[in-house]
Amino acid sequence: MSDPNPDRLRETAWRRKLTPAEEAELRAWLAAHPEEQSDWELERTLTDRLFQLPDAPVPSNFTARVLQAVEREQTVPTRARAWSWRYLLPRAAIAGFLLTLGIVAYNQRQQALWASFGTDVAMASEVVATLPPEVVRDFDVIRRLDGSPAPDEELIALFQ
Amino acid sequence: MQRLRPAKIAQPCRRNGVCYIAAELEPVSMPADLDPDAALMLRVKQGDTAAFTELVEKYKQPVINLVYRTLHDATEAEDIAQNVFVQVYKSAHRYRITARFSTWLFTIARNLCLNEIRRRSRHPAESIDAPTPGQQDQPPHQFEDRHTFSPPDDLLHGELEQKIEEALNALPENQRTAILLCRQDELSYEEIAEILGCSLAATKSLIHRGRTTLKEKLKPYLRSGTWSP
Repeated sequence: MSDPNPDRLRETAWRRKLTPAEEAELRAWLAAHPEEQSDWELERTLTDRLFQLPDAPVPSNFTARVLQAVEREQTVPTRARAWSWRYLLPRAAIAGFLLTLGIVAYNQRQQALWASFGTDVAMASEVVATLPPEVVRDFDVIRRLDGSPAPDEELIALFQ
Repeated sequence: MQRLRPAKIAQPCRRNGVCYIAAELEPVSMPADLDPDAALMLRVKQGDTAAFTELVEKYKQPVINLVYRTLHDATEAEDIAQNVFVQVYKSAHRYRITARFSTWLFTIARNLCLNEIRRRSRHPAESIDAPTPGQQDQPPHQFEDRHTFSPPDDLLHGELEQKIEEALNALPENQRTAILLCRQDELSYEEIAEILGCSLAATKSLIHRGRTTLKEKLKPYLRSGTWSP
C-alpha cells in the first residue's frame, strides 16, 4: 500500500463516503496518528450532517413559471420592436420633414440676402462711376479724420 | 464585515456595478457525449423547449438550495432561481461546450445571488422582525403553534438542523458556497473553483476554513449527536 495521504483522504471525505480501500488507508494512517482520531470523527459527522440538510422548498409550478417567464422574455423584444416601428417611425418622419423645411427656408432667406446685397453693390458702383474724380480726391484724408477727437463746439461758437 | 468578491464568470462583463452573464467559459475540452446536459443545452440552442424543461426539472432543486442558503429568503430564492433559468435560456444561442453545463449554471446562480446581495446592501430594507433599539436584550417574541404536534425527537432534530443552518449562514459567502457546492456530486473541485472564480488551492482553502469554523461552532453537537452547548 502506498503512503497514505491524509489531505487527499480528507478532501475526498468532504465530498463522499470513503471507499473500503480508502477506509483501510485512513485506518492505517490513524493508527500511526491517534491524536487525529477525534478530528476525523468530527469531519465525518459534519459531512454527514451537511449532506442531510433538508432541501429548500420548491413550488410545484416552478417549471411552469420558468417556461412562462421565458415565453414573456421572447415576446418582449418583439413587442418592443413593434412599438418602435409603430410609434417612432411617424415621429421620425415628421421630424425629418420639419428639418428639411427649415433648411429650405434658411437657404431661400440666404439667397434673398445675397441677391439684395448684389443689387446694392451694383447700384453703388454705378453711382461711383458717374462722379467726377475730384469728388473722391481727398477721400483718404477725410477717412483718416474719422478717428480724430470730437470738435470743440464751444470754441467754434466763440469764433463765430 | 464580509467583503464580497466581484461577481465573475470566466469573462466578466460589468456595467453599473452589475454583473452580466457571459455564456462562454474558459476553453476546456468537453465533448457533448461526456456531458448529457451539454447535449440538452445544444438542443435548447436550437429552440427545443422539451430539452430546456428537462434541464429545469433536473437542476431546479440544487439551484434553489444554493440560492436559498445564500439569500435566506424562500420567495427571493424562487425568483432568483427562476431568473437563473431564464438567463440560461436567453444565453443559449451563445452557449459553447467549453465546460460542464452545471458549472456554467451554478456560476450564473452565484452571480445573480451576488448581484442581489449587492442590491440589498445598496438599498437595505428594514425587517419587521428586526428588534428595535429598546428590545435588543430581550428574546424574540415566540408564538406557540397549537395546530401541530411534533414529537420531541423531531423538535430536537429541527433544532439541530437550525443550528447547522445558522452556522452556515454565519460563514462568509465564498466559504459557504464552496461547502454547499461540495454537496453536488457532479462538481469536481476544479469546477467549484471555476464557479467561485478562484484557484483550486484557494477553493480547497476556503472549504477547509469554512469547515473548521463549522466544527468549532458545532463541536458540542457533532461529538454527542445532540445539541448541548
